Amino acid sequence: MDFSYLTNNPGTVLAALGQHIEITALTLAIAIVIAVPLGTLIARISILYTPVLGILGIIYTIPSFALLGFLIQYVGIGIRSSLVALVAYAQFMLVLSVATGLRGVDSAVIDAGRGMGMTDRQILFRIEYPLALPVMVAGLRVATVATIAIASVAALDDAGGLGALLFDGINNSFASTSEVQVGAIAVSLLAIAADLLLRAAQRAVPAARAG
Amino acid sequence: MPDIRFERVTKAYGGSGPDTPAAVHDVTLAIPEGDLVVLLGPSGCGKTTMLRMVNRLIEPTSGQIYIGEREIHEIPATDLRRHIGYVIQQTGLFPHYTVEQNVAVVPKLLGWPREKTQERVQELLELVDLPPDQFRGRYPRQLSGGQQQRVGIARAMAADPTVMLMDEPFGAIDAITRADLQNELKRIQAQVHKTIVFVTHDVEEALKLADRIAVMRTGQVVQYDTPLVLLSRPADEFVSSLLGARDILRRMSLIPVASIMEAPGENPSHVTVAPDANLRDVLSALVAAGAQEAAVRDGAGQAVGRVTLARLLADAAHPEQLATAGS
Ligand SMILES: Nc1ncnc2c1ncn2[C@@H]1O[C@H](COP(=O)(O)OP(=O)(O)OP(=O)(O)O)[C@@H](O)[C@H]1O
Ligand SMILES: [Mg+2]
Repeated sequence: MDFSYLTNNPGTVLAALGQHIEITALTLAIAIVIAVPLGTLIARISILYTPVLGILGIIYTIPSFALLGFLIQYVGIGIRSSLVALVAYAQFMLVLSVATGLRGVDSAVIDAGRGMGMTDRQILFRIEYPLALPVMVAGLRVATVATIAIASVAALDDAGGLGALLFDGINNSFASTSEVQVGAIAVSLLAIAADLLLRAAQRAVPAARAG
Repeated sequence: MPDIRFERVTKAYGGSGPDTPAAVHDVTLAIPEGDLVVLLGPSGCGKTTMLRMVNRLIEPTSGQIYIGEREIHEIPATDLRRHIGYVIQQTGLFPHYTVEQNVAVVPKLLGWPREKTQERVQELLELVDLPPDQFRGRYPRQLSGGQQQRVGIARAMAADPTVMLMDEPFGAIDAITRADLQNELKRIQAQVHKTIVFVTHDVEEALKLADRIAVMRTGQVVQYDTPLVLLSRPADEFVSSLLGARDILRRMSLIPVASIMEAPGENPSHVTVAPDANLRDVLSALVAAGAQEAAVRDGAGQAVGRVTLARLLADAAHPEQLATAGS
């Protein structure tokens, strides 16, 4: 391993890492805001379940290069195209986990809640979401790791991030293997760290104790 | 405590065409205030549908349901439900809530102050025989099935509802624990006198708990009376065979009164049976006189023992025991 790039350019690496985290966080925030209502909707209205997940599943399988190239044509180059692509990728896992989590909530528990006079809203927020949370966090874990990986491609879009080190290193005719290695290791470590963090979060949610 | 009245209530589920009978068909039924009424009948006869119409989890197709003076549809569904206790077979305890939080659900919905809720939880856990210090902080999965259902009952009683609906509450519980819980419910009911609608298809349970039993068949109530009358004068073959009345009566006729007789009380009943009478004779005498208790008198008219209706029914509800006692 050659860490010379890191020791020579600590500022650049740190900035790239910061950008990568930023893109990932922004992606997940937007993706969750869309996925929670969408997942809730398809868990409720079962005729929507298969078509919505079908479409999201197809998006999920499009290679990220292809999707990004396509979006750059329509949305233009810049972070916006990357965000659209990343959010679209994350939808499948997130919507699936929200819907699966909600569908897995014991109907007797919901019936008891309704029978005691809880409103639909109270049932959703006090029973269904808390009980679906372990499954939702599991989905978030997968989506986070995937987003961190795919966000490397965002460098193509001038959005920066650790992907910039990778592409830069590969494209540069004076190929700096160290730059590629540092970029790759940094992305991997980031993904592992995020996974561990969310795994801990998963264990900490109250419903996991109840399971 | 208010009474509950069904007036010409029908429920036809969406799918049922003209050929499918309604789940509940034109039922009129009055449940007296403070009584425990059992809805008894085979699977699919409409018991759960009847029960869930009372708290509007199911809306009737036609007819009215009154609780006291008010037709239930005058009351917003959530308000209505907060004032009706609801217990189901699967308990439906919130797995992410502690025992204390579970019992406090309705008080919280009603906006009770914290202190009052805490006191009430304490009181209720004591009532259902779960020492609060030991159980308050546990999660449902840390309880046995019987303990879970005790919490379910405490939760249903939390805001002191006047009406309770119980749908096979002990159906998933082993026989020994079930008997415990039945006794517990009887004890609690003797204290609180709620108006309780209790669904079961367990005949023994019905005989043991009910003030009155409504026997249902395909959406209709075929007979509605006290356990005693149902046993001794079943309206038809269906009721008779559902209750196993013939078997119970036959066994009763084999058992001498002496075997369940207690020492004579202070004021012996005017209903008299002979010391060599059998339990069936006692039953007939009690039904004829509409009495709760009979005195066993010897040839000289001296009271030598007493038999209570409760004891008679409790034993009638346990044919195995009767069989052994009789042999
Ligand atoms: N949601 C529903 N949609 C359509 N039909 C229903 C629905 N719920 C119940 N039924 C039908 O209505 C009838 C009465 O059902 P109900 O649940 O009241 O029976 P039950 O007496 O409680 O039976 P069990 O002892 O098995 O619980 C049954 O024939 C059942 O198939
Ligand atoms: Mg039922």
